Amino acid sequence: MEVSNSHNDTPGVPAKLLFSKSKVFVKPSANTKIPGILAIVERSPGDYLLAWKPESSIPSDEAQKFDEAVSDDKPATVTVPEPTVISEQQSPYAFSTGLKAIKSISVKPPSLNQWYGSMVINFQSGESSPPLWFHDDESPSTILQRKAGQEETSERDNNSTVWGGDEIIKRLASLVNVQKSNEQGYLYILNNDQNLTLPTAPVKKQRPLSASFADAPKVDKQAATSSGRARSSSSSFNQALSYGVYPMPPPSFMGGIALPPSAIGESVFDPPRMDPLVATLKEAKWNLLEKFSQVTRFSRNTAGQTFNAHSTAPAQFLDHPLTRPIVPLLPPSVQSLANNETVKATMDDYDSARVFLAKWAAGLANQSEKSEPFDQRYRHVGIWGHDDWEEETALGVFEVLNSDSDNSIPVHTRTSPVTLEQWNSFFDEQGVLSVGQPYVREAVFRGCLAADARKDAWLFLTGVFPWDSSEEQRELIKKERRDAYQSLKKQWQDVPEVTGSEEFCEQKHRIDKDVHRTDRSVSLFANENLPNPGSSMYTSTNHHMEVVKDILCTYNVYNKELGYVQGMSDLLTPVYAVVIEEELAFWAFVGFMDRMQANFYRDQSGMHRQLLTMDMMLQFMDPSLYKHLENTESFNLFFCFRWLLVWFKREFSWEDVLSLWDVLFTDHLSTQFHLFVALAILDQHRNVIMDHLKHFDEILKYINDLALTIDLDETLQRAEILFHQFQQRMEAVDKKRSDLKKDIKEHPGWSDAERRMNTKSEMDKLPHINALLRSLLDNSTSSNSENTPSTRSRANSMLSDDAKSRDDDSFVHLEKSSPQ
Amino acid sequence: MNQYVNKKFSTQYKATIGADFLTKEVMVDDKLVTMQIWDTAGQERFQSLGVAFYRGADCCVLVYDVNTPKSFESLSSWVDEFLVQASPRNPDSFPFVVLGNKIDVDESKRMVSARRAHQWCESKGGIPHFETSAKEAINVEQAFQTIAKNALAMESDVELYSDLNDPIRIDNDSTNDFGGCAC
Repeated sequence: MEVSNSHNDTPGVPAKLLFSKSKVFVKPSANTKIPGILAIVERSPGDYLLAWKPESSIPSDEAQKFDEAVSDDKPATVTVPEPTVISEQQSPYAFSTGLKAIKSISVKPPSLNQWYGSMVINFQSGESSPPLWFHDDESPSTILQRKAGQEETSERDNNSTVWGGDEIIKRLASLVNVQKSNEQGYLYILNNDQNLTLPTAPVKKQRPLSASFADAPKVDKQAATSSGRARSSSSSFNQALSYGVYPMPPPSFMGGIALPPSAIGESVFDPPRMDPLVATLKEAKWNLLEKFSQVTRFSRNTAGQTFNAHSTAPAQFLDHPLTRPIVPLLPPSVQSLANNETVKATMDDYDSARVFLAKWAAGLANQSEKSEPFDQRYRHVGIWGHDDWEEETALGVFEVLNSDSDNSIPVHTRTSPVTLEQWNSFFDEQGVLSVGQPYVREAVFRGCLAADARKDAWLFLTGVFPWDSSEEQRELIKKERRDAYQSLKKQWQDVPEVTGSEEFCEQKHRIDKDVHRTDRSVSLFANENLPNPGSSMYTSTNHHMEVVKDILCTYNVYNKELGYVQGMSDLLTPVYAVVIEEELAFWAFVGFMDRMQANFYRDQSGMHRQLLTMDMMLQFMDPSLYKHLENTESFNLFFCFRWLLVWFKREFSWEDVLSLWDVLFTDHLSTQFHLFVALAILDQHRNVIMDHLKHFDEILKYINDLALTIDLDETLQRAEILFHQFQQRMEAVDKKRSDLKKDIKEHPGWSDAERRMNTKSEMDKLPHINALLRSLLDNSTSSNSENTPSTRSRANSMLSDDAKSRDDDSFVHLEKSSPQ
Repeated sequence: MNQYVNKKFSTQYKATIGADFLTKEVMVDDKLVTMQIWDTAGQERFQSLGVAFYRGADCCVLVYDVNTPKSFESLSSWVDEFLVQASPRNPDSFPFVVLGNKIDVDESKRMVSARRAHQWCESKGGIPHFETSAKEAINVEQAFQTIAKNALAMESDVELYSDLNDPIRIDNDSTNDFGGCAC
């Protein structure tokens, strides 16, 4: 074995640089990234080393050599660390190793879920390198290489979608025997001793193709020889997508690395190719970033931010960054994708290259996810962001919860809607609920409601009808509610003192304006067949819009302290459209507002509270995404504001909003299930957000533009799974805490002092769970809060100044107790 | 905002909830400028959450409805609110632009005369004032051209005097605008 563990004082050994790759990152934790250079060097003829060292340790005069090594055949001499697996003087992660000391390399090509590819070097000694992440789009050597490629033949264009891992493996294969393990997808074994019989597949010259894919290679070969970029032309691209088989790499795959033909000889093997979808995307990203980098804020100074990895924009060699229509700039393979409706729609709405790419990546990821077998689709839901967290929290339990093989991964229970017939079957002859309220809530939660069952159900769910009422009682309630509404309405209608007051006029004007711009595409509110009675309105109106205005004016009088606030019209229109009867719709709206009104408080304490809960939930469930949002200054989660204020009313189509509200009204799993819906949407887009969006404005734009593109079924499935994961994690943390407490109690002796200290420090590492976080587990059964008047009066009391200041205090307290 | 950026006007625009923005590239004195035009919710109580977006703005656009005196009368409080929240370096010279919108509506309904608005703008140190119609695309282009110009002028001023320790958020090829759409 060649690994020497000697720690010399000499900084390194001079060696001939054969190949190097910059911006190869080691990521010790979610928010620490160390950029480094991975290089292959020749110390003496036949003695090759593979080394990684942090860029910070490279003298500036040498840095250029590393960058140029790929595009230049001229040998350069550089200094690499003394061969040692771990060289602690430089960086805990730097290593330099003889190729013979490498046993194998596991490789993860870039994928739709993981934008950057990575590899782990496994040494003969049994140790492994940390994962090395290839940030090709930031690597000056790759940029130089691409630039060179653009000036040369079309063949060289092929390197444009090669990722760093490919190149390293390819280069190693030219030096030593590299074989692909047939046991694991992307494990490469460096076979230095030909006599050893390792469990490897014989090196293949060509990849066997499945029968259904038989026609594709011809297309590919032709494409590859005529134009590299046409390789992923739509036909082979689509086939690759539908069959899950990737096109064979073209013969000129070697790209910019000038290898003597003899070196390739026996070592032709299946390179760890990335998914063609990803390859296409990566290529598109290159082209776009090059053309648009000055138009967008890609090169914006990110000083003061932890994420400054992207400050090396390839902007230097760009000439005229004027905005042009995007399509002509795209490579042909990508242009063919532009026929896709989703992509077309995003192009129309172009804002900046990054937001554009993010949307596009999400669209493709979504397509590819849909093609996955159903039971596989949600395996990864919510398992994000804990790679590093286990270490930080010393919890370990999440590892178990997150493991793919674990049976405790929660599943969703979504099913078909509750029909009117089923709904009626929940009641006995007297019309009294016979199956129990939790049963009904669960059925509606799981399946939503059929349109004809919705009116009755919503009257129960909004608290107009008590759950234990009989049909007869409900008739009485209806009558009484109708009268009550009419007398409320009389308090303002045709009362000149009220309608003439400045305050009322202002509110009336606000209501008029908002109603005329709420859900006008819904048929109920679309027509304008009546002259407008409102003196300041210049458009015609219709019956339903007028009723909605009346209900809002009445609510304005009914809830004097709050009055009408923008956003309420969005909450009323679905309720009105379902109930249709003005009086009952009003009371259903009142019931709904009882739970929603805190969103509209003047001091915004309700929204503040929700965003704070969301904040802590995200921190608990996806620390990596949370860190990213923090780094982009999006930590106030303002982009969730609209979602939470009007319960996703603007994010889904009309029909989907009704279904979503069916679910949210039930309070079945949580009275704040809408926050899990929010988490589910973020979870769905978290990789795209983390990979592409670096500033709060980009994130806000991206999130705003998700409106009307979100799949409700998928979101609800995801939200349910996330709820159960949240619950599991809470329980795991609680259990761990009580175990540790018990341990401390059981070891009171002075000789156990050290043990107690360790246990305590372990306890400190546990995620903090405060009352807000815990409140997410409240549901209809536990909290017993059934939209009853008591909740309303409690909420109303918060409006008084005295109560408000108390409330503020509680915020201060909550914020203080939340970690960071 | 939509008329300017997308050349579209629809009576079906929804009331803004939260905040959103559009971007538009304009040429100002041979310089390509990317404007980010922000729009935040109109009702006062949501302003506390819009504060984050005021900071770093290069120009503040105030819009009133020429047919609704109340919207005109509240301009002063918007100016004050903005200056408090955004706390710009030079509050006295911070660029504002005032737009009186909806001049397409029947002249008989007009409640705020151009003269009155003009006087007010003069009293505030000569704020540029335009009467516009988003619906009929009247004066919209001209108004935004002025907005871009003033924002850019303000930026180069700041660049001249800025110290390195306090970098401004805006770089050469983009400027931010806050547009308070009060209608």
